[in-house]
Amino acid sequence: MRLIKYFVSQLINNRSFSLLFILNLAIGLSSFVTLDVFKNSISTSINSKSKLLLGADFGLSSRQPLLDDKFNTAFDELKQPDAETSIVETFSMIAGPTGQSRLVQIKAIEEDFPFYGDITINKDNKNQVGVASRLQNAEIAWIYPELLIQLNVKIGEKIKIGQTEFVVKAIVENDSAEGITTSMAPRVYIGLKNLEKTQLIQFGSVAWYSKLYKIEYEDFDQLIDLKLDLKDKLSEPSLQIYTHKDVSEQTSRILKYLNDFLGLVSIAALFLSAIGGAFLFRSYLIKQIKPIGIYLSLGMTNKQVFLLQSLQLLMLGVISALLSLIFGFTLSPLLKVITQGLLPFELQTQLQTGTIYLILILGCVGSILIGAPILSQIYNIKPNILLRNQTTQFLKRNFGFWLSLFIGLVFLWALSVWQADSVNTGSLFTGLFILAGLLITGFAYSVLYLLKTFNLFKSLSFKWAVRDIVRLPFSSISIFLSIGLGMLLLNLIPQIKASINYELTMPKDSKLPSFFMFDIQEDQMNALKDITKKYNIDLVQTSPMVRARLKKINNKDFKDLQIDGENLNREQQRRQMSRNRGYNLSYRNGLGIGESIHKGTPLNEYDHSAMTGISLEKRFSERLDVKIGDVLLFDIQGVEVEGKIVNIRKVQWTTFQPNFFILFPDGVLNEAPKTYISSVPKISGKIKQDFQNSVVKTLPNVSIIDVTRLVKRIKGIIQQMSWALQFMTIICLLAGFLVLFSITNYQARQKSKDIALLKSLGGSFSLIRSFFNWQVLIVTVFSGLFGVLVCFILSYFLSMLLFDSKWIVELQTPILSVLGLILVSLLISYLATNKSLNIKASKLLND
Amino acid sequence: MIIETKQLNKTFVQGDSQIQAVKDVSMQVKDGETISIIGKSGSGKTTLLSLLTGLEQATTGSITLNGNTITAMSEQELAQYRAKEVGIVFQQFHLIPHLTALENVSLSLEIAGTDDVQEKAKNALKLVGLENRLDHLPSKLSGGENQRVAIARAIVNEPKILFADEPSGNLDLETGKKVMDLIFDICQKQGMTLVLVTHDQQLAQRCQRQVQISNGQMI
Amino acid sequence: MKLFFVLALFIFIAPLHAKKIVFLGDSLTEGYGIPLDKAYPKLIEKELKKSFPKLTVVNAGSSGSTTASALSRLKWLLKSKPDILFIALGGNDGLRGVNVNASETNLQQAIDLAKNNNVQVILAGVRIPMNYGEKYRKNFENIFIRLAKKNKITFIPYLLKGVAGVKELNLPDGIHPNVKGHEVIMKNTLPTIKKLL
Repeated sequence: MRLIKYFVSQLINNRSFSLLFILNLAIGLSSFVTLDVFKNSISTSINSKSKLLLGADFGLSSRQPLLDDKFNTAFDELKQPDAETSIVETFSMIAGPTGQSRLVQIKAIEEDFPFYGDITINKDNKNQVGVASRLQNAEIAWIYPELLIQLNVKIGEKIKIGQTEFVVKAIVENDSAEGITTSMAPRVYIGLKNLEKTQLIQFGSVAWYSKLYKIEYEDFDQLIDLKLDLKDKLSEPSLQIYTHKDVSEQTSRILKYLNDFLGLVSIAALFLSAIGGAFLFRSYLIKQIKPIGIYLSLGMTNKQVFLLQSLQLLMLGVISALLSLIFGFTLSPLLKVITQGLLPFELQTQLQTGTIYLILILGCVGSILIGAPILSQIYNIKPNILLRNQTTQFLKRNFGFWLSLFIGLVFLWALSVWQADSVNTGSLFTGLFILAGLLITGFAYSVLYLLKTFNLFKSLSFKWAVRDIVRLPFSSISIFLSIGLGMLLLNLIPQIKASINYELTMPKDSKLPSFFMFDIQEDQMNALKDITKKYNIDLVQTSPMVRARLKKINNKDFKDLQIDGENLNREQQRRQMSRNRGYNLSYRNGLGIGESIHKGTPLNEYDHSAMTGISLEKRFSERLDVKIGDVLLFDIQGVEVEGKIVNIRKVQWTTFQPNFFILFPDGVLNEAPKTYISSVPKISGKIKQDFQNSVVKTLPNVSIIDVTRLVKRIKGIIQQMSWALQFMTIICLLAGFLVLFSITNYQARQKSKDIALLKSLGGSFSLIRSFFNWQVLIVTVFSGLFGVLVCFILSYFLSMLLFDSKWIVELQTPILSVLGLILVSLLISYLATNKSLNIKASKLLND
Repeated sequence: MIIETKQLNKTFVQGDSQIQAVKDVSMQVKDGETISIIGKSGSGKTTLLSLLTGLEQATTGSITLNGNTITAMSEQELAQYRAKEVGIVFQQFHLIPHLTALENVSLSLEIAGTDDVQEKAKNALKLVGLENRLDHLPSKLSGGENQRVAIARAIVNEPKILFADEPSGNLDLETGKKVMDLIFDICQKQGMTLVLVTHDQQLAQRCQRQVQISNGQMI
Repeated sequence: MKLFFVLALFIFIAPLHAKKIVFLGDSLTEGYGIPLDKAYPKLIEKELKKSFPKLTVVNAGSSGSTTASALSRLKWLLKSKPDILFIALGGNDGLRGVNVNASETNLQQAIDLAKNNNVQVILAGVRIPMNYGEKYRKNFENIFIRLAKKNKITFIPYLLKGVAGVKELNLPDGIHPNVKGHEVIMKNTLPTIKKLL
């Protein structure tokens, strides 16, 4: 169409609009790209961490030896792995050269283990990568350092494993594949070929047989599909099939948090730029009403104008998309260089093809959708405005307005669902955003009403400012809404971040546990206290543990709740198992470390007169499907005890303290047979070793589990996550401020005509200035406060519903952002007013 | 008859009350005639013009221009008709500010889908004496020059009828006269029918016939 | 129901019963991973009730417990005045590599307490898997033989005879017997208990 050039020149002529609109959209899309890069980098990093933990991509484990041909045929039909390796793990008592014996975990590996990461060994006082093939050729072993003392053995000496003696060649300095679960015994690596010689594995042995696979995959879903297919094909209840991500519950939980949060940030950034864009486009199109009238009078149809204006938006959208892609391509390698060393993970600078397409689509469709509600008002324009000089009919909301608004919201919803990868989460995002829009509009109306009704200040400029705002309700509310929503989204991310960060807060290093101790008998407590006193150790959260079986829920046999029948599928079997399991109860008054009451009242001291209250952990209560007021009946070694649920507790898992699903108040279970568990805070080096030996010697039954490595590992992941949260938040803050800046800046520029008018009427400069200052002040103060207020409401729901975390009020960002908004807006307005004041009134009027 | 209206009525709804801006106007204009519609501000003359140019639709009655009954046309047809058969000159010129003189004139041709756009537009501008101002933006032209561009734009499609709404109203006396001279000159040369809306009796007298409008009715 | 009330009821009802057998054990006795009424103590109760309708059985199995808990738990259980004490503990000691002397001492203390209270004791031998090494296994197995001989108590040499290591009789974890496994245990132990009654 030959007419396009006129619309291009229209854009070029309205440079400030075009640039700000492009800037706006490009910021949104660039944040989207950046967040995508981050999301990929972090999940790759966490992925590779979980790969390191497993040492492979995929694995099978069973208590039964795994027969090769059976799996090979199954794999042949599904997906051929690139490499495989077998592992056998078992516990055994092994003896050192002096006859001192100790329980260890034997891990017999093949030469290509691990596929990812490595076992760093210390040999001849030098750290080096352990070469697993060396283990195969001779009877040699690598041992965990604590065994040097526990077995009284030196490097080069022999230890007896089963029937065979192995030479200790090295100690394991760092074991990337140590697994996320901790074991109660230190590990000894030997070659799988040599395991047979020990004669430990025979009928009546208990061992864990695993096959680990290296499988190249493009999409993680392929591994999940493979897992499900294999489950179907092999249908072996004793067989565990897992991907590297399954190895760690914490890792996957963190990934879910992060994914949801990143999705939220991406959507928030896009939504922000959509609001900014819509505001700019609205102001722009209002300016274009006259030219549009001319087009119409010259014989263009409304439809043609609509299409051509849409084409304009499309052009702006494409430019924005290209800009943000250029940003993605050129700046992210730069970002990589800058962040190297700062980031706990490597930035993946490769943009995924999917992202590129998505950005282009978002640029095109998004820009049209942003403008569509306003564009549809083009149909309101009649050519007779050229004769009549009235533009208000344009602002009437027609059917097209509501339809395109609806389509835009559906698009936002679809995008949210896609981003969050969940219909529920996506709907929650969208629903809350719509709610926010309604709330802010409602607030804005009530402020207009208040301003109309009450005369706050007597000054002339204030009265004028109020009159201007009140008399142009549509325009005022659209500014309130734009700035309010902008402030909301800008504040939402830091607010959510505060809640997640709270969940991820870890106690000080000195409070993190080194050991967990189990099976401490009541009469051993004094002996244990003596030992801890000797080593100057304060035990943390020593808790009694009573074994019980749940018999009835609300007087209904717990058995009734189970699925009966012989032919249970695996899932049912597992569920049955978890429902049958006895539970460990504990008792205490008050809350322990990292605990908070989610719902209900604290446990009262037991008063012997009424049924005792009990407290359940939140997730556990969900699994059991019980609520406050339900009565649980337990069988404790033949004695029945009943308790009514009075509260649901939340336990912050990052404290790494042992905790209990079910808690009784002190006084009910004190007589019941029990053992104690306790955790030992961080201790190091020699004391750690001596303390352990001392406990083993004096209290032989007490199990000590060393969790140092586990805690360290998870701490690393959490720190990485906190860092990522911080970075995302900064990106969102930047994007938010830029959008708000462009809105207020544009708003200020539009005032020049009013200024000229006031000037021509003889208004003094100071009067004109204070008139505009009042306007800016009223708009920014109220919309800023609305935004923050609605942000609190939204973040409350999001923390509760999506992130399952406690709602934490973070005040710093809201205060700073509202102040920043007001001051920056005043400054922008001051500069723009000054500029306009210095231009001759007649010139401004002529425009 | 090049223009024929029958029982033309236009009613606006303003709040609760109805305002009848044009009442039972039936008029006829011969081909090549120059006619002025005169009346005071608020008399309904502007509404009548917007009805005649198809910028607004009549409530009842019919308008036939050059044998086409525009009151029976769809929006789409009306737009096309406007593009090809009607030229309008406004009091406020209504040029598109970001287009040059030449582009403003070309726009009209391109909307109508004509060939040889450049040449025709240049000729039209030559006709109004602006052949040296082709690449100037409206803001760089004087008021009189702006109105000349608007006239060039109105006549470039060689319409049968030229409508003009107070074309000299925004201009000083001398410039206004020159612009009016130009309009009459062109109409005469091209055999165009002219419908001039004005409140200026003296100006109205320059037309062959005067139609008085008061309270929406022809007197 | 409050605990003290239950306790009172418990003690009150106890003398009315002809015989009461208490199973002091770990997860094997508790019936880890299977329904409560499918664990071997309950199966034994069902069988014995055919001949001794008034007999009661208490399952005091507690997952994860070691011999160290035997004495204190027995003190609690004695309140219900049992006639027969079936001890099946030690598996967790073995699995955790606890010093065998400590386990033996713990069991001896429990046996002494039972005898002093005129409770008949049945000791079930527990063995640990082959992978723990021949020496340790032998040492461990010998505890039970020694204790049985020394205390002249009824002895079932191997609780999991014919069950351990048999895939079909165990849960997927390869350690705990499934429902069928518990039936085998019941058959292993029933004749010995019957003899005592």
